Amino acid sequence: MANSEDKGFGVGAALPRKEDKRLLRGKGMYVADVDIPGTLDVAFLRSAHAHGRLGGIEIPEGMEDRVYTAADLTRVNPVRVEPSVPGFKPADHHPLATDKVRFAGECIAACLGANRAEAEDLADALIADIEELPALHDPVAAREDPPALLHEEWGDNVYVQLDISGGDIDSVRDAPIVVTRDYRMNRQSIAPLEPRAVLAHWDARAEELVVYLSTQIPHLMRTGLSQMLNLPSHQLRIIAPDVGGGFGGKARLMPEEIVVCAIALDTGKPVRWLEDRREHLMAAPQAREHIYRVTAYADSDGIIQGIDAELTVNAGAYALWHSGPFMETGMAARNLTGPYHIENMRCRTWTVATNKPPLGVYRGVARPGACFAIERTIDAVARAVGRDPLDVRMANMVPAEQMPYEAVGGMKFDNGDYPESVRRAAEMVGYDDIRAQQGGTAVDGRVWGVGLSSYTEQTAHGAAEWTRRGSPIIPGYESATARINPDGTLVLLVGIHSHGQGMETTLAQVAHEELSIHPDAITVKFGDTAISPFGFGTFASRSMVMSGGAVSNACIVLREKLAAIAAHHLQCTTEQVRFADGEAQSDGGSIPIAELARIAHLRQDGLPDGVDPTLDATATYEPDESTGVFSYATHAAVVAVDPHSGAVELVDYAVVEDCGNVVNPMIVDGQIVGGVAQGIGTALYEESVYDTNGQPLSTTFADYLLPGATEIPDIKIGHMVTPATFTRFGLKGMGEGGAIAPPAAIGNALSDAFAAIGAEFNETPYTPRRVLDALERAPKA
Amino acid sequence: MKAPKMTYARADSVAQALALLAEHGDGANVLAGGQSLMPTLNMRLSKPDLLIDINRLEDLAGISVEDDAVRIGALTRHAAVQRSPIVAEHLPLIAEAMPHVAHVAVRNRGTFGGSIALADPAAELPACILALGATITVESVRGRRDIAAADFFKGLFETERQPDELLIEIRIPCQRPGTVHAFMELSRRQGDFAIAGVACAAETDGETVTDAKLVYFASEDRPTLAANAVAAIAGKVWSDESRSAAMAALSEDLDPMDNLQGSAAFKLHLQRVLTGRVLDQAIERARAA
Ligand SMILES: Cc1cc2nc3c(=O)[nH]c(=O)nc-3n(C[C@H](O)[C@H](O)[C@H](O)COP(=O)(O)OP(=O)(O)OC[C@H]3O[C@@H](n4cnc5c(N)ncnc54)[C@H](O)[C@@H]3O)c2cc1C
Repeated sequence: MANSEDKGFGVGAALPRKEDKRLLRGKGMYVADVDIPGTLDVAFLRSAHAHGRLGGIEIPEGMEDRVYTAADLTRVNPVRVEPSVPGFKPADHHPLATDKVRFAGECIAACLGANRAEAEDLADALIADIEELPALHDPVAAREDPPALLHEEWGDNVYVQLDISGGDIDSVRDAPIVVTRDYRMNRQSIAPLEPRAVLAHWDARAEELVVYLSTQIPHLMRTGLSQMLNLPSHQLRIIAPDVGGGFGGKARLMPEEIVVCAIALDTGKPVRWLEDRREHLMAAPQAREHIYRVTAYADSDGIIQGIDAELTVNAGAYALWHSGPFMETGMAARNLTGPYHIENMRCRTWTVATNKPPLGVYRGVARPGACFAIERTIDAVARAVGRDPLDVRMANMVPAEQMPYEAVGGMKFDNGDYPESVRRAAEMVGYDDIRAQQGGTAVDGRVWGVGLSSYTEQTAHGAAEWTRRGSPIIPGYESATARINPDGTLVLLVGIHSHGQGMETTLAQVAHEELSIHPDAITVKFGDTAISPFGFGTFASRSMVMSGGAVSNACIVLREKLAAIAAHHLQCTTEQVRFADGEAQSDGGSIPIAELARIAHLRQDGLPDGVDPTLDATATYEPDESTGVFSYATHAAVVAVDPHSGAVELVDYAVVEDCGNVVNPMIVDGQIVGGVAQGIGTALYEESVYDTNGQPLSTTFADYLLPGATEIPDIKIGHMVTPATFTRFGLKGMGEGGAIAPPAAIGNALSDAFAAIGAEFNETPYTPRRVLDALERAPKA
Repeated sequence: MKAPKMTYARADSVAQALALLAEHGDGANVLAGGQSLMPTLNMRLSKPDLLIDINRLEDLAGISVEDDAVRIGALTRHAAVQRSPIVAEHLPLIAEAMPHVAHVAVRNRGTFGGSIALADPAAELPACILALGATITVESVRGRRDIAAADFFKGLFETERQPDELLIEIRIPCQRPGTVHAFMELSRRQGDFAIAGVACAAETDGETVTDAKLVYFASEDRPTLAANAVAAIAGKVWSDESRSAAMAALSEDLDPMDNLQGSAAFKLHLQRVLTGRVLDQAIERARAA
C-alpha cells in the first residue's frame, strides 16, 4: 500500500495536499487574521518571581476599568484537575493569581488596550507586591528536600507517586551483568510557528460567545470553557481556523484563554490575546524534564532479564485541564522496556511540582524520555558484555514470531518485525562501513560514531487504554458527518483538527475509497463546534485511524442509501451495485452519483419506497480492540564530533518505520521528517534553562535554539508494511514517532564515537559544553 | 512585545540627522538596518524618545578604494559587503567573516556601520576591523573626527562614539602582500552569534611569524587583541612548540565571561583551540601563496 503509483485517489495514493493551495499562497487564516472592528488587545502582567506571596496590585488611577485581576473574575471557576489515579493531589489553579504566584510568567492581571502596545504600556505601569519565597527548580530536590511547599495543603511537592511493575524484579538480582545509569532529558518548549491565540466576542444575535482559538481540540475546549465560565455549551461556539502548528502545545486549556473569554463576557466587546514568543517560552506548556536512574540486569550475552528504575518528572506548577500531568510518568514507565522481551520490570515514579510552567503534552509524550533511557541502557549493556549494540539490540527484541506480545508494562504489541527494522536502518547508514572506518584514522580530525534507537508507538488507543490511564475523559472514538449535496459533491464534517497533518487530503482519500467521488469534489471541514459533530480533536497520533474510520463509516451509510436508489433505477438488486468513477454501476448500466443526489434532494418521486430523502449520515468509529495499534521504527544516526570544540555534526540519519497500511505516503514521509527535526532539537539544541531562583533564561529565540534547515540532514526513510489487523484499512497512527528516537539515537552515536575512552552521553541536549564535559569525565580519558 | 511610544523622524540629509542628534542626544536612537535595534525596542530594553531613521541617506552607503584603504559607508548593507569585489580583493578577512554574520535575510537589511556602532561582543565585524587597524569616522554638529578601531570599542555595547555623533564610514587598510588572514568561529547553529571566535592578520613567510594581530570575540566584553599570545610566537619559526606557547599565553590576554553556552574556562578552552587552528591556517596560506 505504501507505494503511490496506480493508486488513483484513494487509500495509498500520494495525492498532493488539498490544503496547500491556500497555505502555500499565504491565504491561510489564523486567529490573528480575524479582523473584528473594535477588538481590544490584552497584555498580561506576569509574575517576575518564580515563587511568592501576592499582596496588593497597584493600578494607576483612572485605569481600573482596563485592568482585570482575580478579584474581578467572579464568574470564573478555578481549574481543578482530578484524574482517577489513586493518590493524585489536586489543587485549584486560578487563571489569574490569587494569593500566590508559582512560576515566573504566571498571569497576575489582564490589561486592555486599543492595541497591544497600549495594553503593554498599562501592564508596565502596574505594580504587583510579591513577597518572595524560595524557588523550587530541580524536581528531585523538590521532592526529597524541599526548601518550600508549592501547594501547602499537600504537605509535599508531589502530585502523585506511582509504582509500575511487572514480573518479579527481585528474581533477577543475581544476574552476572548489572548496569546502572543516570539519564536526564531536560525541559523544553513546544514552539509552534504560530504561538497561542484567542479572540472572543459575544454575538448578540446568536446569543453565544464566539471564541476564535488556536487549538487542536475545539470541542473539548468548549467543554472546558463551559465549565470554567459557567456558560452552557449552546452559548459557546469555538472556531479553530488555520492553526500554525500544535504538537500538543494547543491541546490543553490555558489560563489566558479563560481570562480573555471572561473579559469578553464582562465587557461585551471583542477581546483578543496573541501570545508573543517571549510569553510562549516562559508561560506556555513545556515538555520533557525526565530524570531517570535505570539498573539493567543481564546475562553475559547482554540479554536483559530485568529493569529496575526510578523516574522523576518535573510537572511544573499546575495541572492543566483536562488530564493534568499524571500520564507522563505512567506512559514513560509502561514504555520503559521498549520493544524488548524483558520480563521483569519495576519503575518507581514521582510527578513533582516545581516553580516552572506547567508540563503539557508534546509530540511523543513521555516516550522520548523512556526511549532515551532504555536505548542508552541497551548500548551500555552491550558495552558491558563486549558486544556490538546492534547485535544486543536485535537479540533482546520481540521477534516477529512472538507477535502479538504483551510487554511487561502492559503494552499489547500487535504485529510487525522489529529486528528487521534495526537491520535495515543500520544498512541504510552503512553501519559496517563506519565500523571499518572507525578502526582507521579519521580524515578530518573528527571522531565518528553510529547509533541506533528503536521504539514502539502506541496509537489509536480507545476506551480501554484511556480508562486504564485514569484519564478524566475517554477519547476512545471519533465522529464524522458525511453529507452529499444536491449536485453530488461531498462535505465531510469532522471533530478532529488538522494543523500540518494533511487531514483535508487524507480524509478525502478515505471518502473517495468508499464512494469513488473525486477528491476535488470533496470538502473536509473542521474546527468549528457549530458545524461538526462532537469529536475529541487531534492528538495522540489518533486522527487518521479514528477520524478516517468515522469518515469511512459515515460514507458506508451513504453508499448503502445510494445503492438502494441506484438499484431502483438500474433495475437490479443493491448487491449488484458498485461504485467507481463517481458513478453507481451495475452490469446493465450506470448512473452518476450526482444524479442520485439530485433525486435524493430535489426529486423524491424518484426514491424507492422506504428510502428517506437527503444524503446525510453521522457515524462514530472506535477500533475493534481499544488497546491501540503499535507503529514501530528504528532510527540510525551518524555523527562526526570535533573532540576539541565539542561541535557535533549529524552526518547521516535514517528511519525505517512500519505504520501499517498508509493512506498517503507523501504525507507520512513529511510527518516523519518533521518529527525527526523536532527530535534533533531535543537532542542537540532545545533547552528551557532556569537559574536556581527559577528565573527563565531562554526567553527569546536567541537563547532558545530551534534547529533550522542547516541543522537537519536529509533524512533517509525506509518503509515496512505490516497492516494492522483491527483498524479500518489496516492503518496505524504515526504522527509522533519521528520525535521519539533522535535523542537516543544521537546519544548512542556520540557514546559510540568515544567508546574507546568510555565517554557516555546521558543528558540532553548534547551542547558543545556537555560534549566536552562528557569527554573530560570519561573513565579512560 | 511592542515598542513603547516614541517619535519617529526620517532624516533626509546627514545635516538633518546631525541636528536631530544634537538636539536630542541620549534621548535619540539612530535606526539603520534595525536588525538589532527593533528587537530591543520591542522588548522595551531601550525606550528612546526619538527614532532617527537614516535609511534614506544614500550618501552613507557604498564601498570604494582610496589611498590604499577601503572605505565602507556606515549604511552599506551586510549583503553588499559580502558581494563586493573590492572587499573580496582587498579585505579577504572581511569577505571570509561575512557569511558568519547572521542569515541572508538579516544581511539584506543589517548594515556594516550598525554592527560597528552596536559593538556586540560576539559580533564578527568589530573584531575584523580591529585586526585590520581600521579607522572609524564619526560626525556631529561639532565636526568630524576619526577614531582608531583600537580606541573605539570601550566595553559591552559601549563605544567611543558620543550620543550626538553619527557613524559615517569605516576606512580599512587594504591587505598588504606578505600578510595573510584567517578567520574562525564556533557557533551553535549556522548564522548564530559566535560562542568563540578569532580574526587573524599575520605577517609570515610561511615559516616564521614576524608579527600578527589576533583579535578574539564572543568571550570578552569587547573585541580583544591578544598581545601576549602574539609575543609568544613573534619572530619564531612556527612549530608545535610555538603553537602551544601561543595557546598557553592566551590566559594572560583573555578573561572570558561565562554565559548560557558555558563557563569562563570553557570559553578560554575554545579560544585556545581556535588559536592553534587559525595560526595553522595562516601559515598554510602563506606557504601556498
Ligand atoms: C537573527 C539574527 C542573527 C544575527 N546574527 C548576527 C551574527 O551572527 N553576527 C553579527 O555580527 N550580527 C548578527 N546580527 C545582528 C546584525 O548583524 C545587525 O544587523 C547589526 O548588528 C546591526 O546593524 P543594523 O544596521 O541592523 O543596526 P540597527 O539595529 O539599526 O542599530 C543597531 C545600533 O547601532 C546604532 N547605529 C546604527 N547605525 C548607526 C550609525 N550610522 N551611527 C550611529 N549609530 C548607529 C543604532 O542606534 C543602534 O543602537 C543578527 C541579527 C539577527 C536578527
